[in-house]
Amino acid sequence: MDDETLVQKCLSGDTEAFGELVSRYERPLFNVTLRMLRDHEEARDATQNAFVKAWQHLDQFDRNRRFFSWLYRIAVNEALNRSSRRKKAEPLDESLVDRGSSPAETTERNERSVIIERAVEQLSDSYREVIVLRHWLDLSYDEIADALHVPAKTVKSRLFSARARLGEILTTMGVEAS
Amino acid sequence: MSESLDDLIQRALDGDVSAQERTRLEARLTADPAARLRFDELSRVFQALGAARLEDSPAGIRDGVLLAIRGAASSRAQAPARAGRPAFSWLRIVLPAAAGVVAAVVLFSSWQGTHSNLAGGTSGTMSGARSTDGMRVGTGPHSVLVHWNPSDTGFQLRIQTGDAPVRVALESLTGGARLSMTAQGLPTPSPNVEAALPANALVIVEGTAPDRRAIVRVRVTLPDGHEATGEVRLQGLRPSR
Repeated sequence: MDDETLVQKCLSGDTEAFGELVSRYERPLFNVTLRMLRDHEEARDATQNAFVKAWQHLDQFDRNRRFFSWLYRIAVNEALNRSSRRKKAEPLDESLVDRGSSPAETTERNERSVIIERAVEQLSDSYREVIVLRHWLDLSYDEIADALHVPAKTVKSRLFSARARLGEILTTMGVEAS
Repeated sequence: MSESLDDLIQRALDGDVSAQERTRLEARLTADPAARLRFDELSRVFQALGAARLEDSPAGIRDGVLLAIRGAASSRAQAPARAGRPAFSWLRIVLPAAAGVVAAVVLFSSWQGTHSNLAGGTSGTMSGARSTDGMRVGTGPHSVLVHWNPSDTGFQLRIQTGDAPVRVALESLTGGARLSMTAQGLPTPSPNVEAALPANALVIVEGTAPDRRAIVRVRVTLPDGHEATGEVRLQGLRPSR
């Protein structure tokens, strides 16, 4: 069943239909908030609250847009608010950052994946955003443009700059081409 | 380096060029060492990003979301719909409370709390319905939803009543834990709090737990005397002064 049909069912009060949308998008949304917040529990909270807010405001959803794009903006705002509150509350102690896996698990994971995550974490928010949307969520330029409310041309130039910056970071980290 | 070449390189690496454009790019790269260097550099980034992978989302997000939106819905299920508005528009009134509930549910999982429900009271006509993400004590319009989250002083319980007024009593079963029902303005925390609550109300109960754990029994009494009970077990709490 496509998103539009599920949204229509939701508007009639069908919570199961909304559950289907949650199942469909919780993983990409969680990954977006995780990249922004760098904390599994915070990312989980942000993802969950984003869905609840989406349900609350579903009648404001513009059907001409992709549902994920709309949902994405809600999740990003939720993550930004949390990040802002956290910064005001206390500086983030890097030693306490929950990377989501124990040292033992980390060694089992693809090392390159971990390295690239660390590199992406060093990007600015706007650069990290386009990198995550393009390379983790596999969105097209147009889809990213829709999600970010910017022209596709802006997406292209931002991606180029972000990739160039990432190249510099990888060099600093001593990462060579495989 | 011209903008158009950068754009072409990027599109090529994104797999978004025609065969003709690819040929044109290859010719440029062969003739221009700086362009080749630029291409190789971006290729390296693309290779590295090829290792990027989505992490699995934690279990329970869907259940938590549905619990929140249904919890709000159940407390208003019999409210008349307003003409000309979406069927769930009224949810906005109660969902801020539900949004708080979500946070509580999530925090709970990292907080090593557990909960269980006991059988109904002497009448046996009602009992707590167990949920993985929250607890409903009782059934129907007289039931209450109980959610919990840690707080600066220890913990917090949120009691959401349904469409009928009920009497709710909370009893701390652990020696040191103390409760105070803020909505009732009780002056000092005590092991037990009790109040007659109106329909569709959200009441916050603040708790302190010097030994970092608490067991709280929630008892719901209907107007006809029937009772339902549930039990919240919390551990790993912030120490209270």
